[in-house]
Amino acid sequence: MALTDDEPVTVLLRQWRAGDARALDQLTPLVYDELRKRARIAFSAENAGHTLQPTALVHELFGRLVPSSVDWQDRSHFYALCSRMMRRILVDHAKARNAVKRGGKAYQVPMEIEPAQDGANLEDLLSLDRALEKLAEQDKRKAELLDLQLFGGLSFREMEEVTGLSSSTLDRDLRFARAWLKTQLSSA
Amino acid sequence: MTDGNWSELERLFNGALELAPAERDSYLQRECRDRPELLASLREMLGNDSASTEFTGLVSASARDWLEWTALQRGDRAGSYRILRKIGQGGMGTVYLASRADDEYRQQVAIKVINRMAGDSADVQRRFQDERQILANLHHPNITHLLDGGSLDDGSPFLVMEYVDGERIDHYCETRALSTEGILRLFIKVCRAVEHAHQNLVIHRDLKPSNITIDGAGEPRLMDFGVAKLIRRSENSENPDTVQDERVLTPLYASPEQLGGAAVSTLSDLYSLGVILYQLMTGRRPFDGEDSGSYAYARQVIESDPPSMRKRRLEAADPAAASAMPPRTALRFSRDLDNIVLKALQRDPAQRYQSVSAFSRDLENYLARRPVSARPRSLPYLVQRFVQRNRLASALILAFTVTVTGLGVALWRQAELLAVERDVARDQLARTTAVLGLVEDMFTGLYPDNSGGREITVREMLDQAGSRLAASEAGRDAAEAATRAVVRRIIGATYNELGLIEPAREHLTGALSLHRAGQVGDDAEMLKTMLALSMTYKLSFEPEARLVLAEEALVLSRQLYGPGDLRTFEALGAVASANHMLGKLELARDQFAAIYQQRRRALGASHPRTLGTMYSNAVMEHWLGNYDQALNLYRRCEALARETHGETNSSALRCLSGLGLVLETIGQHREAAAALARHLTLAEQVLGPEHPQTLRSLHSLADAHRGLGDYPKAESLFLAVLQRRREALGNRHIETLQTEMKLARVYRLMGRFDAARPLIEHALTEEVAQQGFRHPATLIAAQEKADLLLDSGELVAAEALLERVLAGREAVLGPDHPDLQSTLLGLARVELERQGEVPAKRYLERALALTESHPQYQQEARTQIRQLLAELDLSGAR
Repeated sequence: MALTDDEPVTVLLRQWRAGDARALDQLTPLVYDELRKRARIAFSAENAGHTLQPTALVHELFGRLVPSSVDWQDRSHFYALCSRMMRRILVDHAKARNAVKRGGKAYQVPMEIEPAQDGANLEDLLSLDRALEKLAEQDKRKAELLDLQLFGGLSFREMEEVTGLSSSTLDRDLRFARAWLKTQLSSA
Repeated sequence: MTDGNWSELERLFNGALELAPAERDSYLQRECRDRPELLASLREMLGNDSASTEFTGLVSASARDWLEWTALQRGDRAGSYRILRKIGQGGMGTVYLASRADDEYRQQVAIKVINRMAGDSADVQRRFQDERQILANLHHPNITHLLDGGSLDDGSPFLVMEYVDGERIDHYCETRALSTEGILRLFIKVCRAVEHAHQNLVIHRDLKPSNITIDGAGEPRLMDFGVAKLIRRSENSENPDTVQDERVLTPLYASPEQLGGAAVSTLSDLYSLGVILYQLMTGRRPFDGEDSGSYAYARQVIESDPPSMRKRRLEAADPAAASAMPPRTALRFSRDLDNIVLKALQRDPAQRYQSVSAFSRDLENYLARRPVSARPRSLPYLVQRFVQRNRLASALILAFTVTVTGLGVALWRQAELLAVERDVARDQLARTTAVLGLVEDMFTGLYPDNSGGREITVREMLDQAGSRLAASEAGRDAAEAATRAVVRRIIGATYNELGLIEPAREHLTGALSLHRAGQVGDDAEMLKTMLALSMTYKLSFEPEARLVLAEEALVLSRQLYGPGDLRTFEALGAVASANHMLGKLELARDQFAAIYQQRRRALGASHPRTLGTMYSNAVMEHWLGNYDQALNLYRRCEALARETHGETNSSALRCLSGLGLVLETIGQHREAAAALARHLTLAEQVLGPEHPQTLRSLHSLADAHRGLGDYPKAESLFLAVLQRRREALGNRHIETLQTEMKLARVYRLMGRFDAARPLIEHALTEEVAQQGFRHPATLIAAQEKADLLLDSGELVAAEALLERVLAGREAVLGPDHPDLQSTLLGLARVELERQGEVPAKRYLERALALTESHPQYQQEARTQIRQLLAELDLSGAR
């Protein structure tokens, strides 16, 4: 455990916020890899009675990569990035699983019994992703709020803190975005 | 949906939600009269608002699916092996039980799959190859053998190892309720296996109970040399690439050097073995951090010594804790065994056994009841080690870090303490014992030193020694009182040096009351105590208390040493400083000047004490408004101190800061900012970010930004200073009030009068209460309040206050002090607002005359005044 390892992330975050697009390029794979790694470790941890949520991963990742002294603007950027990465990981995964189902062999197929809810979920997640894309075309900010909530697993209060929005604005925006999203999904 | 529709959609959706459910539809119908599509969308959305489709559930399920998928499942193939189940998680990978796909005997093996990390897989692969090579070369009956290796379809490399069906060593010892001797015999075998690895230049790096299995024959087997790395004499550079995988180590058994990211050696394994043995003996690890990943835990391991096992057991005797303890806490072990384990657990590797074999040899000695090599160090040894360590540290980095500055002080105090120790030894046995006990406590607490957190260590030493003294305060005889007075004075003075006011005050008043009660009978020592306590009063800004005590000390010093003695000037300096704090500037200046002359004659111009007085002189000239003099003194002092003692010398630093302050006062903001920024950099290095001097510099730098017109920057800096000062000094400390006053000024200049008002009112009220209205500093705050009143148009109140300030300044500073200028300008503004052109002109002319007395510095102000006067003349002519 290297105690000083979080430094580069802090620096990259700051550069990113200051408008340096290259910093984001460097940050993205870092966060992506770290999320995958943490997930794998969390999953196979010795004492895991794993009820693992992506939430926990994002939080853990944050605690691991970013020192508490980082200010809220950097924090909010970081959470947004993590949430986006988590969404990408899950979407990539769902696509890969679908490919396997259609006869591809990206992974080996386990012989143990599959979880029952499996197939439907994968499709639903891809639909959700598409609906979020559409939402982003209309209203990027609201789509980002949903990313934070669904894939970053942030609580309402955390979102208030991270976005700097008042609770009434946040509540209104989320309600609207979720209602719209549901409409999209049911019509799809 | 078009963009225009989108905002309509949002507006109407939110509008509808504000209504009662029953009214919503009629509202929508009304609003969407000609827009049936919009109406349909809104109705659907409102219907969905109450429907519960759980997105989060969907995401969690997907996440779980993803995670399950990334692990190998029963039946998966790994090379020619087939996975049976997952059995554990190693340093870098996951371990599975598997069997050969074609094995008719179904021999079981352990397969360790590395967690492949995208981006650096080539590097991981290379290390994995190394690991295979290492393990292939290791043959020992207590180390599991490497059988094979390969990689999965997705490229993740894996190792195939002999599978040992058995029990973890800690569970084994517990379930079988092994005796101390039984545990030690088993543990010595573990040590032998590690020794063997070390002889083959292999460090395990991740020793822990789950890596030590006891097989069916009762033999320990070491597994999972997961992060082991070949150490070759030719290749001793630390590969930076290996840093990352250190993070996945289970830190509960890791050594301080591993946690701190320093070089790892065979002695790191020794440390981990020490932790394991400690746990086997007591049921608990030396540090009880369950939160293994936390920074706090690592810090604890790196910065503190573990409690002895016997102490742990005493804690466990507490009934609340006892229920949580396994029955083996009933194990018996002597102090010798404790010493052996604690020696393995030394934070500094150099203080541990120098090999695992030396460690296991001592364990064998213990079993055979031979003397062991781990013995508590004698006091002389401890003292010697301490002084050696710190002398080295001082020589290396004395001038560069506050932590070492702290140590330098401590070192010097130690030398003094040792002298005391010698003196009292001649005196009385009881006294000697008391001091020795204290010193031993202090050094034991300190031992061993480590590279991080030096200051904390010194502080801890003081805190521990202090509380021990306080705890045994009552019921001691007179002989001991004398010793205690000395020790408490030394501790208090050291706290002073560290800027810790309250503990300093506690110890010094404690010591002084022993003197006053006549229990010590040593006037020289009493004088030292008084001076130290008056220094504390300076730090806490209690000028009256400081003056009273300093004058008492001065009288005593004159009696003891005579009025011309250098030691007496220490007391005179304290008196002068108290006078300065009380606003008696001319008196203070004369006293400092006298001290300066004497010290320069006796000690030389560049002696630190002489330079210190020179600085005081400069401060006085600054306060008296003699900016030329002040600049000159600061410059000379800074240059002299820098040349003779280096730029981080305390006098050099203080004078640099003072230089910045004067430049700021006279409006040379850019030069001021440069000097202050330089000071800030040095001060943060040398004194630390919380030190009063660092904060003073930050305060002034903020003011310089105010002067340059960068108000947002000034505001954020002042806010930072204010917060730190409130924390460190409290809400009522004069320096906190000064920051409030300056921040109020920034807010006023930004036009944020509401933000300015509470700050300046608090500052002014407090300053009046603490030092009276007619104190130069209070008058500055009052001027600021008046300016705020003026700017917010409260002319009557402004005028009344300005007149009081003018009278005060004339009385305290004299009629020609440049500070009067701002007051006169304020009064002129009041008159101008009232069209009172004649009195306004009078004030302005007087202000102009004042600027003429400092022509080179106040060009801006002079131009401003001249312009105002010119306008007045014009309007008068009209």
